[in-house]
Amino acid sequence: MSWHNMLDRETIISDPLHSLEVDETNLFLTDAIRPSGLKSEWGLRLRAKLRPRPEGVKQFEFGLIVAGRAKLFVNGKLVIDNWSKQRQGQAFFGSGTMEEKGVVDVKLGESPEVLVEFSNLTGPKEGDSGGNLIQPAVRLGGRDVTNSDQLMESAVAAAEEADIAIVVVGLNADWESEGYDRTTLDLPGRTNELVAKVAAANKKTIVVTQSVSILRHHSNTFEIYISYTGLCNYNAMGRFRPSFGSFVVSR
Amino acid sequence: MFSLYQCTNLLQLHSKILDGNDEERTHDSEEDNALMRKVASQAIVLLKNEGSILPLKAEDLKKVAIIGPSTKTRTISGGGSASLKCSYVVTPYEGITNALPNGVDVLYSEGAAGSYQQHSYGYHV
Repeated sequence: MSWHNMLDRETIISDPLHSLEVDETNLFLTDAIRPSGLKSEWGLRLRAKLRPRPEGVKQFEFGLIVAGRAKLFVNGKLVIDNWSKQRQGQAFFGSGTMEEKGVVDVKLGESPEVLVEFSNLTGPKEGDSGGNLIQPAVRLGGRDVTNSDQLMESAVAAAEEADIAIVVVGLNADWESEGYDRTTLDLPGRTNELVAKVAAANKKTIVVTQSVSILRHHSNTFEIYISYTGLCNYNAMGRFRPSFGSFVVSR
Repeated sequence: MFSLYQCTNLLQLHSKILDGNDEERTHDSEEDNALMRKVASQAIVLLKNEGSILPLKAEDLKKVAIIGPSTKTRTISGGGSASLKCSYVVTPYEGITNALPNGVDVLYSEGAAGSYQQHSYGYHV
C-alpha cells in the first residue's frame, strides 16, 4: 500500500510519499496515520496478488466498496470502475458505495496482479456531482464463481457418504456491524436450504450456527451456537468439553 | 468547563495513549491465549442434543463431512468498531480436523455462499 498526492482531482502522482505492508483488504482509514507532506486531497495504491484458485475454478468475482473513489485493475486491465460513477450504499456507516462487481478469468496455478487505486474524494452519484472529501475507506472482496446448484449437490453428496455431517453456517462482519439494521432474520443466501438438505441426507447432522444476533432456521437437528470468540476460537470448538463434551474427541 | 487549552492538552494526551509510538503491533502472551481459549470454549452453547449424539465418539468415526460457508472462512468478529485483527486464526475446518483422530476421512463442501450480498474479504489475496 502506498500513499500519494494527486496531480489533479483525477490523477494520482506516481511517486509514493510512503509505502507500507498491510495484510488485509478492508481499510477504514479515518484514523490512519498519514505520511508527512500529504495534502488534503490524496490517493492510495494497493497492490496484491490473488492466491491461485482451486482446481476447476475458471473465474473469480471481485467486489469493491469505497468511501471516496476506487478502481480495480487485474493484470493491468480495468475490472471495476467505482470512480467515475457511483451508487450510494450502506457500508462504512452509510458513507460507502454499493459493492460493484467484476469477473476475471483465472488459470490453474496463476496469481493475477491486483491493483486498487483510491482517492479520498467522492465520485459522482445520482443528484451529486461528487468531488467532496469524505472519511476514507475502501474494501476489496471476492469469491470463486461457482454454480450454486452444483455447490449444493456436492454438499448433499458429501453428507450422504459420511457417517456424520457437521454444517457450519451463520453471519459475518458484512452486516453484523454498526450503523445498519438487518432486514431479515434468515440465514444468508441459500444456507438455510443447505442446512435442511444436509440434514435430510444424513440423520447425524450437527448444525453449528455462528452469529451475535438471532437467526431463524427451520430444521430438526443437533445444534450448537457460538458467538464471535476472536482468537483461536475454533480449536476450542473442536475440543470443548464442559457442557456437552467435545464435538469429537474422547480420546 | 474545560478551557480550549485544557481540551487541546487532553486530546494530545489521549492521542499518545491511543497511538503509542505509531507502530502497529500485537501483544501476545501464552497466558492470555489460554484464558481466551477457556472463555471461548465455555461460551459455546448446546441448544439441542437428542439421542445424545454429542460428544461424538472417536472410535465410531470413519468418515466426516464438514460443510458450509463458515467452515474455512475466518469469521472472528463483527464489523465496524467490533473489527478485530487476530495474531492467529484457527478456522472451524482446522479446529474440527485437529480434533479428529488420525485415519478419519474428511469430506468438504462449501455448500452455499455465506454472505447476504457482499463478498467476503481478505482471504483470497
